[in-house]
Amino acid sequence: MEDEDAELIALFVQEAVEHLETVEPDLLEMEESGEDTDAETVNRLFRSVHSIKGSAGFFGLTKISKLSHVMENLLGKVREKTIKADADVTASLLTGLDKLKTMIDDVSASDNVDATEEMRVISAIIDANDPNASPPAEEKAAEEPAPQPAEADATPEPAAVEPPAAEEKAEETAKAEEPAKAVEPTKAEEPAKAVEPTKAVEEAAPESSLPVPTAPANANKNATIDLFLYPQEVKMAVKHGHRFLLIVLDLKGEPAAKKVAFDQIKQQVVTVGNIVATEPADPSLAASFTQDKSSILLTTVLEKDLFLSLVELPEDSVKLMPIPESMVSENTPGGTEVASSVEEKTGPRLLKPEKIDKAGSGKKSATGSTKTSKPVLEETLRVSVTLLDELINMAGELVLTRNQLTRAVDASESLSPQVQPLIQNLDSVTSRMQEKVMQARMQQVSSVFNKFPRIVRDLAKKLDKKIDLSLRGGDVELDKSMIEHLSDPLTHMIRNVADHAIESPKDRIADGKPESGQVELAAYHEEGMINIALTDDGAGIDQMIIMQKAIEKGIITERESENMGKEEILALIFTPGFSMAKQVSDVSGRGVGMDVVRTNIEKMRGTVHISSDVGKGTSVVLKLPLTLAIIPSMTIMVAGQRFSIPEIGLVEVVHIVGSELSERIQMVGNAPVLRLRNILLPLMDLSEVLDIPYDEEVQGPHWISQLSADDKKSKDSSDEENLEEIDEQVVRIVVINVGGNEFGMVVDEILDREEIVVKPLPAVLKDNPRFSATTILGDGSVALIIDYAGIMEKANINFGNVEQALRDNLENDRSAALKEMQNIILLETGNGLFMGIVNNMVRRVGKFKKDSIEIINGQPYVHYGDITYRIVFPEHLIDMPTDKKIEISKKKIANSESDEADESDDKDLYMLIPNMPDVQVGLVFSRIVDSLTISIDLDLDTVLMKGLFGSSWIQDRVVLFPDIQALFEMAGVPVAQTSPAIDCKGLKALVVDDTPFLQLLTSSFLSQEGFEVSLAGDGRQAMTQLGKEQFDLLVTDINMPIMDGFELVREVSSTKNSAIPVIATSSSTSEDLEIRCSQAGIVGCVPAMDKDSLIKTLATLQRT
Amino acid sequence: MLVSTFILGDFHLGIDIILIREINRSKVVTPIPGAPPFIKGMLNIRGKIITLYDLKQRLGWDETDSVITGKNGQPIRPFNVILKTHDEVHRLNKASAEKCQWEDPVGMMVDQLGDVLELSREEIMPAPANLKGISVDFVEGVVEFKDNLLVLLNMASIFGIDANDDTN
Repeated sequence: MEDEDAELIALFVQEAVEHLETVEPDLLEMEESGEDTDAETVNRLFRSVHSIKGSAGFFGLTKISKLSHVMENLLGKVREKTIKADADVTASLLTGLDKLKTMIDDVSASDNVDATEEMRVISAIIDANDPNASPPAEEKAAEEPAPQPAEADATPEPAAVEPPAAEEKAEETAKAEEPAKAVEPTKAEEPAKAVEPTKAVEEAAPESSLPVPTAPANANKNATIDLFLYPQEVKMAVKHGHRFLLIVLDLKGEPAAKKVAFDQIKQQVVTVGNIVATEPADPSLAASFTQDKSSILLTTVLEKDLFLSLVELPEDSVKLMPIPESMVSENTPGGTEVASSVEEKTGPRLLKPEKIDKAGSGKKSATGSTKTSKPVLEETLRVSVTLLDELINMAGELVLTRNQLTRAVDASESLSPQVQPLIQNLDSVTSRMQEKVMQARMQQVSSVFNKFPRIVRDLAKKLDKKIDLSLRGGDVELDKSMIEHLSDPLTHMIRNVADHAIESPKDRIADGKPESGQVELAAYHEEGMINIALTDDGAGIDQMIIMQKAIEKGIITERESENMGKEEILALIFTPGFSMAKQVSDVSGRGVGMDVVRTNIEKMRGTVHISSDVGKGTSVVLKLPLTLAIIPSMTIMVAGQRFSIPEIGLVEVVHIVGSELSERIQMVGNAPVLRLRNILLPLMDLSEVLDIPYDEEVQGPHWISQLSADDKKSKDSSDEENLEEIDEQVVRIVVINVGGNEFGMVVDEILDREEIVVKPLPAVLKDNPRFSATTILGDGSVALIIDYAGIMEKANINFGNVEQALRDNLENDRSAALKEMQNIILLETGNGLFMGIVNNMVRRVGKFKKDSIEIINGQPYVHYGDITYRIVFPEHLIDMPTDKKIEISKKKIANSESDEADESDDKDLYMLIPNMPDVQVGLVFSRIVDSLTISIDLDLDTVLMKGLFGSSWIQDRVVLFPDIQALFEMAGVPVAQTSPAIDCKGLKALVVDDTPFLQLLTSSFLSQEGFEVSLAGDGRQAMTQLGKEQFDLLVTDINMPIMDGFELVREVSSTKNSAIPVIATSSSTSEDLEIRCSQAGIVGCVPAMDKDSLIKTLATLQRT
Repeated sequence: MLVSTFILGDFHLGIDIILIREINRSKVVTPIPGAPPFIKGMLNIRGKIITLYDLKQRLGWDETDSVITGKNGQPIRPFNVILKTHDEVHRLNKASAEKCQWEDPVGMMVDQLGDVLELSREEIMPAPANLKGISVDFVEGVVEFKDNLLVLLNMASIFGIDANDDTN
């Protein structure tokens, strides 16, 4: 029996919670719309609270029932429009709602909860407005100012018809002063005083002795209460299948004693039903108990017998009131007829307009509700999650069985031909079934979202801010279990936004923003994930402050901070122990902050992204998988056992063949690291972390041993056999990213990609962090799902260690590989010299016939395209006898200046037009050898002469790098001097570039202008020099290892060269880069190798 | 009370039949790295993942004891006795649910299946102090049976939550 009770109560709680969920948004809407609140909303509120009250009464949960009863009463008054839905009303209802929630959360203790304060507040509002039924009339009058006090007071029926003018007026006028005047009926003597309607009502109320709706019953002493008086209640009753019961009491004694007895009975009755009317109409005054009989009319869901068993009343005192047929049928179409019948029967005139309106509004809401709610309402069924999960299980099993069946059928073609289509049918039905069953677990995010308007409202009030929260995409569906886990993180985020992000209204106005903060909570689909975005237009987060704070708290080091991008820095707020609140506040900022958000989201295999602009606002986006129940995963094999690894968090798969092993995997201390492109990743062996021993037979040379074997190999490279054996081995590494940390996991085999159904871990594994769940693989066997974070923890990877290794590596042998690559074009001169010219310096390369060269005024010209170019033969300017030259001497090239061609005139020549503004000069070469992407290792010493930057050893031969400008000067070609003349004699410049070629190029540009140039290979070297010496100019490359240009600029301020002007060079410039440069305080950003731009930028410096 | 009996080594063991969901054989067992040695692994039975206990290990028997050979000298394939969960038993019989406090689907391996016996409560005696091979903690009672003892197992302690630290 107890069990059944418990079950029923659980059902009640579930139902009540659902009701409360609708109550809150409705109340908030009412708060916002005030008197204009949609009648349907008020009705819904009323119904919800009413049902809570009803069922609570049934279970004897008196406190819940009492509180919901007063709330219902108040709502009833609001619905009747006898009380205005002002801020006091909604506030009192909201606090009442909170109390209700507390009580329902712990039903068994609900009777111990003290709700008297809430009830008192609500009752006070009711009492203030409605000690008996007369204020409704006044209130009504207040809303419709037309009826003159005198008229309202005494005129008979005709007054009920509202003068049209009044109606208009009522619509137009705000309810401020005029209504107040109109309220005056009872206090007509001093109309001017009553400015505040509520006050007026308050004052007016006690004095008012106007008849109540039960007046006819009053008049007709023995008559029962007439149901025709209560069309609204009848309608509700019909709708909900309630019954009307009339309790007739024969109370004895003095009026006061009668009242006590009456109140007792009334209290009992209230718990099980809804009192419609009483007689005497005003039972709160002992004085009204003058008659012998008192009665209570109530509606209740209970049968009369049941009612009697719950209420201690003699059986014959309770009478079932049949609802008149006419009213049952009339109710659907609306209330006009009812209303008119009411009109006829009601004596009190003042009631009329009210009644009519009531009936009218009732009609409106009735039709409104049927119109709006019916199509939306889909029939639903409550299904237990366990049942659903079982269904999902079985659907999964069905899929497996289907797969096996399909395979079996495929294998035996001899089967009857009818089988194949059947199998196909089964196939499609099974798939659809699984899909639908999975859908059943999905819930709309609105179930979480909807609680936020309230939270935001409360927070805004508490913090004295104004916040508009808009919700979008509430109909986006997510897996039920995720919905549950989303609530806490979102609440946390919203609290943070309200507390920190949104400024006070004053500050906002000062910043030119709208007074109330705009916060949007949106859900949407993107790239197969659900995004939940919380965006505000608040103060934003200052990344510098975050960074400082993180450094202060020791979360990052200063050095680390320099390498961090904006998002990375902002993401620091998700680190445990990081709280941005300047002071700990009641709302948020207890030091356990946003890290909870990230942890929770990552538990759901989601990610958190944050972006923010100071002064403009912040946006936090949670990216979540559609469901937790099914995830894409890869199946891997380790030590003969299969495991599933989730694809979320999986970055890439790397195969390393044995021969590359020693190159790619290194030992740092005793920890192996993988060299992947330019980064080093800590490595761990999955079998080791999982502690699975290899079978003796299965075990081949393991990768670690392989690694040491490899080391041996390098020492003793003659060991050919060993080499071969190793070459066959492939090490498979899965690169995983956990919360920004990447590491490699060595596995034996990578088998398959599949969507797996996630199942909980068995109890024995609950405290094993290495696995997150289990699943059933395609062949029906069970596999464990690896938990990356747990694995990382177990493997005890020290990322700091690796970072250090990364640095050391970079500084030493790796720095060469990181050097900037240049695209060069390799050309051969007429005398067989190879020259390299960087692509950026070339405008175009054109082919022409040798015989098209024209000699004008002793100088060679070529007409190419529409332009005539002066041509220059580099070999004439740089004469360099080399072995090569001798070798190819048979290829002796024409000397066009002397026109001594020993080769045919139609030979093709190539003209390279350099990328210099306003220069129409070409360099002539005999052939294009190659186009390469290499890092130029410029040698300044081996070949040194005017017109050359230097030489380099490329493709097994010497390649010369010409200084084109110098060549032109040597050839006497007038190169348009576009660069402004600048005089930098004696000034000292520091050129920082990790590419020696560019370093030299830039320095040559500068020394040509008179600078005394010093060189540095990277930011760190530069810092040493800047610390020692005073410079007049710093020209730095942006992209450098160890310390890039931006970092260098930041650090410069700490040296004695803090005021030094900085020019940045970059192989590719962009608007974005320029902006970043100017933000960093860099004077200008010029393309590397562009002398002109460099000089121009320098010129601006000189002028300023 | 109906009791399903099994043979494990030299012992005849019995379990209240209401606790048993099904008995099967030869399923692929997925071992669980890091689990206590008496956890054999996991089984998939129609979409439910069963944690399979190696009963001999659980009783603390030696590795050598736990391999028994059939007539042909080959190790015999054990049977998997799959038990109902607490909820499942609760639905059938609330009293029996007391004996079955595990929420996870679990199973255990036995060597041979025996008969189903009808026992009356009076026949069940407390475990004798000199019972060798099975700790008294795991015994609910004993019944005389075929000139031998039928040991009724206390399944709650075998699958108990404290399983991790009590391997005797």
